[in-house]
Amino acid sequence: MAVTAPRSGYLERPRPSGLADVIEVILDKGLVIDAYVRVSLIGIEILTIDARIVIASVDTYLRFAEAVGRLNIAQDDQSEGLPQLIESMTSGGAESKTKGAIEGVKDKLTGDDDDDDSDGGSGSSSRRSRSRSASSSSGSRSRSSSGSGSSGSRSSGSRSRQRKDSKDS
Amino acid sequence: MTSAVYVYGVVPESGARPADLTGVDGEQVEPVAHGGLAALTSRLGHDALTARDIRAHWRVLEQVFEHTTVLPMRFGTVLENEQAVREGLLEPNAEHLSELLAGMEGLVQLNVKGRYVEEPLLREVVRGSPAVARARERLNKLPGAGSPAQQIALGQLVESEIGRVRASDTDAALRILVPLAVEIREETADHPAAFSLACLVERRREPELGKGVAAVRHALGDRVEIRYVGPLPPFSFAQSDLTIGSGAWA
Repeated sequence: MAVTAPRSGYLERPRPSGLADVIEVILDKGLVIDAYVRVSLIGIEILTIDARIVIASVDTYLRFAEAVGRLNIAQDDQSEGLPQLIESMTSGGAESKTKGAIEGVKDKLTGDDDDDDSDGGSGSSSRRSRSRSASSSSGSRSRSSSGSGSSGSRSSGSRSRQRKDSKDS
Repeated sequence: MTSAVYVYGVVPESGARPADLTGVDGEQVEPVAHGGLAALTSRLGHDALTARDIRAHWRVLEQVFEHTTVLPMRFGTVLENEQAVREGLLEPNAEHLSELLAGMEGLVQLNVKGRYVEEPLLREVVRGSPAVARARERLNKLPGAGSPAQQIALGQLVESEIGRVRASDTDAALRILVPLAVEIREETADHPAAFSLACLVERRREPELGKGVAAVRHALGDRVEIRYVGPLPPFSFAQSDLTIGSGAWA
């Protein structure tokens, strides 16, 4: 696919890392000792695999069908009335109704600076749709390429790409 | 429970450090040194870590990272005492940790995460799949937009096409960014995430990656919202399972 170059000199500055941005890496990545002090995590739900909400559900299919049906596509028939047109224009970016447990945890943790059990629901939608590598003290379910990866990772799991020339040592 | 030792990460013993660094429970962060390495630690007087402690963990690493290379520990690493840190953590793993630390010198992690905006994504799906376009037109003409079974079938087709678009968009992003980084790790991304890339770059070359991110934005258009975050200590690249010497548990 051809990539058009942006205006020359344009670059993105990275945003500073707030807690919400880094919470997955803190809980899931980094050096890990294979077993350590049993420290109970309170105020943080310990997630189990069952708590994950998987995308392949009937509700999701119905939602996709509805959303794609609502699209206003120019070459389609012109039978869409004005109210439908407005609705389809303003309903873009609909949030998934299925909010995984990890997102709930993150909301709790990042809502405000006060103590942990306050409702963190002020998170923006961008926080809620992060990748779902969950944290659990029994080991990571992260599917990035680490030695401690769990079994059953999907084939679309992590890949590591490297430049052919290594950095100068 | 008697006081134990919380571990934040490993730095070079001779590295610069911020003065008066406090961590979990407001405790002073102290180095425990061995063999050119230093584990950053603080006393932990309780055995239940909370969300606030995650912040403290992060803040320590964030400040240290401004001064020196750091291998971050995963949150929640607690050992019995200083001796356990020295003899159980640092000594048995000294060679491995020293290599990792040296390898990470001057490198930072930047995360590039793409998230789909549904309507433009679905337009791309329809544009790229005649089957979806046909099914969509057909159902829209039916009363009630088709039976539930028909809608489910369309939804399944859309979902599978989304997967195709995601794979293609991820490849496009990687093709732009891989040449600009030392290493990139692609993490699993479930809908509505498009991709989640951990990029390891030389700190001084971060602007080049920034240009790449701008190019990715340009290439993918309005169907992907991109968050570009960093610089971070190399969490995703310093992953290792470390063995602990015996008797290190608290």
